[in-house]
Amino acid sequence: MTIFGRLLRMRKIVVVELAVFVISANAFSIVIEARGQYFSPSEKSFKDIYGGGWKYGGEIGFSITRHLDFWVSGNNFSKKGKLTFTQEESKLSILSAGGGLRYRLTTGAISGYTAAGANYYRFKESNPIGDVRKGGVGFEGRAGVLIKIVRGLLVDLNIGYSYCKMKPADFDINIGGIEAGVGLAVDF
Amino acid sequence: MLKILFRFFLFSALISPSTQSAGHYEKDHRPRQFYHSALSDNSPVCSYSHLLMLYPNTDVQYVKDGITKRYKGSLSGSHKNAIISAYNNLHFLTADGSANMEYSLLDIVVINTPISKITSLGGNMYYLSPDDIKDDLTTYAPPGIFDSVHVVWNNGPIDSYWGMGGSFINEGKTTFDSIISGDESWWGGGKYICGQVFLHEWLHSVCRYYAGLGFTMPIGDADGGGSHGYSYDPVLGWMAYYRDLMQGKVWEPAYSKYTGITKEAWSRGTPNQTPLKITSPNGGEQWKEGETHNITWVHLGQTGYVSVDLFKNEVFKVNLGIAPVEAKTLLWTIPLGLADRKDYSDYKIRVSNNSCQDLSDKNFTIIPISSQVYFWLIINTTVGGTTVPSPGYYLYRENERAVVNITALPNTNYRFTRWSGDVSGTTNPIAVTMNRDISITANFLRIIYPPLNARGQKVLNRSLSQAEYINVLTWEANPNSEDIANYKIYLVDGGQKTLLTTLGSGGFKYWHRKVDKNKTYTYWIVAVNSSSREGDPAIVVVR
Repeated sequence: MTIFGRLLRMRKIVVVELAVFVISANAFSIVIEARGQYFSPSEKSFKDIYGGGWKYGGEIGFSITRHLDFWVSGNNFSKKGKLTFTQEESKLSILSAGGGLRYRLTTGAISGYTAAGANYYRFKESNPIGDVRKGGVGFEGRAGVLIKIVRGLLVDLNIGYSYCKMKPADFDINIGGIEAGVGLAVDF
Repeated sequence: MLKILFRFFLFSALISPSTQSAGHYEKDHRPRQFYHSALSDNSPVCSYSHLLMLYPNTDVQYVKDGITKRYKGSLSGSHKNAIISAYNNLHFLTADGSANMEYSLLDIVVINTPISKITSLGGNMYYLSPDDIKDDLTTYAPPGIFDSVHVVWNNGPIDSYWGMGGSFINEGKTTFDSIISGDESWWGGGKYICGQVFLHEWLHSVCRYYAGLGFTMPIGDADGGGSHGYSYDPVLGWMAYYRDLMQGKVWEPAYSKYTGITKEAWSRGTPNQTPLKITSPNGGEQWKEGETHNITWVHLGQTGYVSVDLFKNEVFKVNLGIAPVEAKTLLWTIPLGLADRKDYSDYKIRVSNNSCQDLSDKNFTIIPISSQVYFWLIINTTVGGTTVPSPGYYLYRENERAVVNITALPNTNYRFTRWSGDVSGTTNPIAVTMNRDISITANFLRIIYPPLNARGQKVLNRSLSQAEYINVLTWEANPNSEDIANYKIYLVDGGQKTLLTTLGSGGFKYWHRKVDKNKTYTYWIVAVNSSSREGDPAIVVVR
């Protein structure tokens, strides 16, 4: 079993235990969110070759207390770029999955929050030089605001920063960066 | 030429009968001038040379009504003279009949040896056939001498037709007719009738000949007078018909056109003549290298140009030029070295045009300047240069043992590569000792120059996670090189040359990918022409 598989399995166990904990603690909500984020990589070569782009994903949040949530999420970033000299096509795909805690600064119709967590990143790049696949663990932090539009329906505006250093082939690269996005969440 | 010589021989024979063994000759009755009738303004376009072979004596066995008989007899002198007079009138009759388009030269030989053999025609009829006088024909009318042979024999009481015409001897080259002496009174008549039997029998053969060339003759040819509406006239005999026949004016209802021997037909000459006839050299001449001679010919009705060729042993050797057929001559200076040193006889000249040709009757000789004393130096070059001395033929005396320095001089953008032929090597200049005939060729090649501004640079090509180094080679076409089809890129490493790629002539860059970042690479960039010949390399080192 791969590390990614093991992490998924661990994550399932954690989610189940948290759910049991929340229910047993008479916790009160689950939030499911779909979101899109514009990703701007930190690495200059990343910017030069691929530039920024939209990253899509989803998140499930579980209330632990009135101000504290536990979340798990998954995201995908895919982009085409060009090799630096030959200008031949290069394809990049970064899949990430992870979880963390979110702290709600306020509650009510508009609720600010900060969040932090860890992600497992799956890196894949294909071009005439070669094909590379590599996995690695990184971190992310996020701040945002949840706006209740109608009962049970929220809009999530957020900005974040991620970091994941790895060496898939010839270079040490950071595949993280700054991102800003919007999501639509349902509060059960 | 042969014909003229033979006629001279025959003339000599005729006036010296006592010295001949093949027969007895009485006299030469030839009026040597050409006969020109005043009947028309035509100029002769055709000449027939006739021979009458008169046999006044006969001693043969024959069969009549199943009974074998023998006739032995001779013509009287007056009878012979009547026949000869009639024959001599053939000049007038042919000129009159053809309106002067044809003229006749007449020869006579009287053979007193009795005829001993005649040929049966079936029944009681006999005639004197060519086979019966085969030896005499070989002697007096060999091929190429006469156009027409007429035979008159003393038939005595033997049944025979007056004339048997329309046949040929000498493989179709000579017309032949056999006529009996008949009664002396038959040979008289006025100037239009006397000798008409010769004209009549001759016309049978002549009509057959021109019909064979594609000219339409009236049905019955010489016999067709009555069937075409003509009648015998006491003064003209059948001359009215013969005139129209010999001028192509007989209306032939079966063909709805005029038929007969037209001027165009006469212009084609006789069966014995080619329309084009070489007269010199025609056999036996001895010409020398360096001399200038006239090659001459005659023609009948030809126009345009003729090609003049030299033949050796009946095989084409070289064209000597072309000339208007009407010029009838081509001046030829025999080049040095043309003659075969070992066998310098057996040459002939051919003149030809699109429709006909003629070859010298016999061989002539081209004598080389010397068969032993000189050696030839023949210097040739390929395209792209010259030599000093210039390319050409040079003659050196054998005993000089001359040493000739030959320098190859390439033209701009060419390179001397080697000597070939009897001498090989690349030394330039080269010294050649003239102790034999030597042919040497200076070989040149168009230079294929290296491409210009050839450069190389090592560059990094990377993606986000991967990288490669590329040696980028660039160059430009060299305008002094021609016919470049492609470029080849070689990697040279440790004395070994490895072809990396071949690019089209329009490609001026090459990426050598995934090279070692820290290694020095040496490349040859080579232009290649359409003959797959590679030029000099442009060498590029990339560090």
